[in-house]
Amino acid sequence: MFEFLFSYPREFFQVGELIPQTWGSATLIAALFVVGVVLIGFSVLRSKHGLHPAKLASLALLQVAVLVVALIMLMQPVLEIEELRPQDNKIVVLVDTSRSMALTDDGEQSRLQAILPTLTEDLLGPLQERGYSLELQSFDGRLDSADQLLSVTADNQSLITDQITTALKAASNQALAGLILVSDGADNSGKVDEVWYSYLQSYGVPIQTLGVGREVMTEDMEISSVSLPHSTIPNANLRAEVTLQSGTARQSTLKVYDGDRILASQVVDLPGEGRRIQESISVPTGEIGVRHLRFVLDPSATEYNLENNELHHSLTVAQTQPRVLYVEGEPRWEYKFIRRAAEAAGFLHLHGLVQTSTNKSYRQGIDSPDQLEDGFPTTRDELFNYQALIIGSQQAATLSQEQLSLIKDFVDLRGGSLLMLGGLNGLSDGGWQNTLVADILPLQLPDTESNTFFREQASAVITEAGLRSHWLRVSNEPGGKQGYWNLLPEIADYQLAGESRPGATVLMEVLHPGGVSPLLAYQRYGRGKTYILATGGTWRWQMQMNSEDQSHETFWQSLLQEMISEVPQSIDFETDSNWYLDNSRIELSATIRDPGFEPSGDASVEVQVRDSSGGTQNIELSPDAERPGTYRGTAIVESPGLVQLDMMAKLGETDLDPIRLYAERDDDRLEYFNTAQNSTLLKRIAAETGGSYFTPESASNILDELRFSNSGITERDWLVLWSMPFNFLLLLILKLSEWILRRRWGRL
Amino acid sequence: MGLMPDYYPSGVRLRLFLSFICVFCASQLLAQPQPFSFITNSNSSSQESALSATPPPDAEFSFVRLMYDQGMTSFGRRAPWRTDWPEAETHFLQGISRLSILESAGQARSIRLTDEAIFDYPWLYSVDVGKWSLTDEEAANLREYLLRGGFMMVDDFHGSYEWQVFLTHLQKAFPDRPIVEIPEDDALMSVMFELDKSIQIPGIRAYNSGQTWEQDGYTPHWRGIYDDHGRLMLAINFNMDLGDAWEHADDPGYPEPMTSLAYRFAVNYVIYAMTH
Repeated sequence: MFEFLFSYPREFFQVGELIPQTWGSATLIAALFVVGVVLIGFSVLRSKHGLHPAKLASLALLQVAVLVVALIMLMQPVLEIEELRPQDNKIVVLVDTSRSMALTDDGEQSRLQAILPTLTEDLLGPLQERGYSLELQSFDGRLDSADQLLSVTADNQSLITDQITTALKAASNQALAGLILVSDGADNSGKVDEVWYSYLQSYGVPIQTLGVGREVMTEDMEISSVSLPHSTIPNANLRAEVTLQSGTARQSTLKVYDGDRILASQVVDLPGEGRRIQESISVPTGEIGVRHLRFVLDPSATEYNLENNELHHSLTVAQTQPRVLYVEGEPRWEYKFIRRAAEAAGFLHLHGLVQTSTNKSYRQGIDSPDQLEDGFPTTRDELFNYQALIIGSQQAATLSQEQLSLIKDFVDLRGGSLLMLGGLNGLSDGGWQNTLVADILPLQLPDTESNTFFREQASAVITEAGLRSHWLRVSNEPGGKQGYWNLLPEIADYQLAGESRPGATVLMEVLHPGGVSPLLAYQRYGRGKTYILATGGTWRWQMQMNSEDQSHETFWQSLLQEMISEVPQSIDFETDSNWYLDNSRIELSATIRDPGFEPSGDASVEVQVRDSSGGTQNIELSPDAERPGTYRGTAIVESPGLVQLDMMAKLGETDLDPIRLYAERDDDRLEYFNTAQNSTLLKRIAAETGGSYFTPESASNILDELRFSNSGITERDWLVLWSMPFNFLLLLILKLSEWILRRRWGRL
Repeated sequence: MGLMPDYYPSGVRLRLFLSFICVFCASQLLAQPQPFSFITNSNSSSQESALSATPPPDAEFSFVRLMYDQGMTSFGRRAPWRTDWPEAETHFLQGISRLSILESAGQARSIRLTDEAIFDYPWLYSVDVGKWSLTDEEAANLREYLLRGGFMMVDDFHGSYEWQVFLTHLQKAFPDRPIVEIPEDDALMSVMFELDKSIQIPGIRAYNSGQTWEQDGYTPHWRGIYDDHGRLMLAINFNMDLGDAWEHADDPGYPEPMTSLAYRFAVNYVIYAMTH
């Protein structure tokens, strides 16, 4: 209809430029308009026949409209368009032949096979018919005919970015009118960013994208990622954050193996429609050594891509155990039971310092007779040797200003964790609200002269934030945390610790006769974290529960592990990933600090890389100019398989403790992840370059899009608009309207 | 009425018989534990006690005395679980307050093992256990109490016969857990004070008769039962009487060094219980 009324396709008007006047001058047209209006006015007034002035004005207006349309037609407007000259231009059709194109969407044909008819019949054939110089390329190189695609083995990586830029570069000295990318949008290059888009735009070649494959893989489930540290401590329970997705809502079982031994298993509910969810699963780290963890999602009966149901992670269980210092200002049952929980965990050293009389403290769990001999540490080296610090029912006044300042630095600079407990001499009742330490705590300690500590049994309840926290669980039953907390006995006492600071998170609250108060809260401060547990009475969770019950132990072990996790070591060694899929490049990073945690910029750091073939290479890491104490380097691993990385550092003449990590290079797996069509990427590529995104159903429209490409060699054409049927139809409607009105008013 | 001599008139004999029955019943009542817990005012030396249901702790540490049934009837004597009561705990609490900064409750308590409130008090004292008797329920609760993390100190029993009685009933709770001598290097012996195990702390009667032992309990034994992690959970003071040493702390006739040592042992037991 559009083309019937306006003589030309809609696209012409979208891409063309309107030139409104090709005949006469503006003055002439204006003069004709004025004369026409005067004549219309004279004519209307002369034959008014007693009509109401409004009716006369309507008739005059219709006649003026006719005059305007006629004058526009007289001006002979044209549409100027630039159209490609097919015979002078080249079109590159780049067909994605990566491994993901060998996947099937219907269980029968591969994506490449499925798109081939559309490619030949709707695209290549018509393009050749129109005379374009056509170049067909796969990710392996140039093809002579589309039939050759059938013989191409889809075994390349999905490196769309590289393939596009290679094709554009190759054709840069030719009249390239456009590039048609036939792809599922899977890109594993990791290079898609704003810089790359700008680079793409600089070629000035529109890229038309033809999306292949389904956007939601209904029968497929996938483990998209696993978040877990590279190294950890023995006999702990790590919480692995696993990202899962499924095309259809369903239930499955997530399992964690160390080799063939199952370590953990958890039923998961997947929401479907490709929506990603994060599940937390507890993984026991076991003894010292390396764990080759396999995260496996049980497949469904109809699933045919099983490769993305499994993900690997190499976990180094290191020999060193974190150290936690726990100071108590008085003997308390809480100390005993926390200590028992920590000992049962076995993954940390808890050094206890309990004041037993005015001038005497009991040191427990220490490494040497002179440790903590003078009480609370007085030097950075001594305190910073710990990863976490627990302060119980202890008066702030028992510590010097220097020691209080050390505690603040311990969190802020060293990155340690501080936990303050409630108690008779704890928090505000211990005078902590007026110290430097109060500034770093997650709760604003009340500054009051009345007691804030109450030896009254009270219920602890978990907050919404607590339910969301991955570590605060006393039961491994999924979704059972809320109910479990309600079943726990009351705590022996509680303390009013004030309101939550901005940025702090309250994980648990206590219900008491005066209302509800924060019980467990934490916040990040500087490089570390601070916690408040406003009670000294969680020991009732042990004494009031069956001796076999592990609620108290689990709570404290989880809290202690959370406190010591992420605490930086004086020497750190990291890689940018742990499982390298189709990637041989390992980015290495080491951080060296002195015992006072000042960055050491004059260390020599070397990493020995041993791959699965037994080949070794030594990589010297270079200081990062922007981050003092950080050293970086890159290792290229030639063989797939397990890679052992040994970091050796020297500070002056002193050899620092070596650190060993493991990584794995796994080829031929990456293409099986994120297998749904990434239409977002394809649309963005098209939009950034002036092209459009097409589906197989709309593939034939690519030809029209190419016709007016602003790239390549074009020819200019002027399309006459005065003779469009629309103009005459408009004139007819206007005169007909006037005739109807006159007839109605009896003034023909 | 063969119990009465014939020279009493029959009316007198009847009155005497009824009096005997009343005295017998009264002695039995005194010998049996009350169905309530006793709260003792440590600031008073009087033996007044208030009867009440066991309230929750009002301080970090409470002295809790175990109430139990005795294995054999002892005519006219008070129940063995009340031995040294209440001066022993009164003096004990005063002593521990003087020697440590422990916040302790002013009032001691007495609780039966069948009282659920016992799990609010992780420290328990039981005396004269050579005469105790535990029901199966009490034995099970004692086992559970100790395995959860409670600590019990038993005291003031002597000789092989009382040991056997003690053992018979204890084994209802722990049939297979060994009783061992506490090693010299155990943390208990040095957690607060350096202690000397070779000294026998005597009861006052034995001391007044010029000896430190009772019955055939010539040698002092500091024994105990440990949990699976090597932590002492039941301390057994055998052939000793720390309770008397505390009770007679203000008695010029009882040797002060023994009281001091008994206090030190007590402090060590408490600090150990609160740190291990």
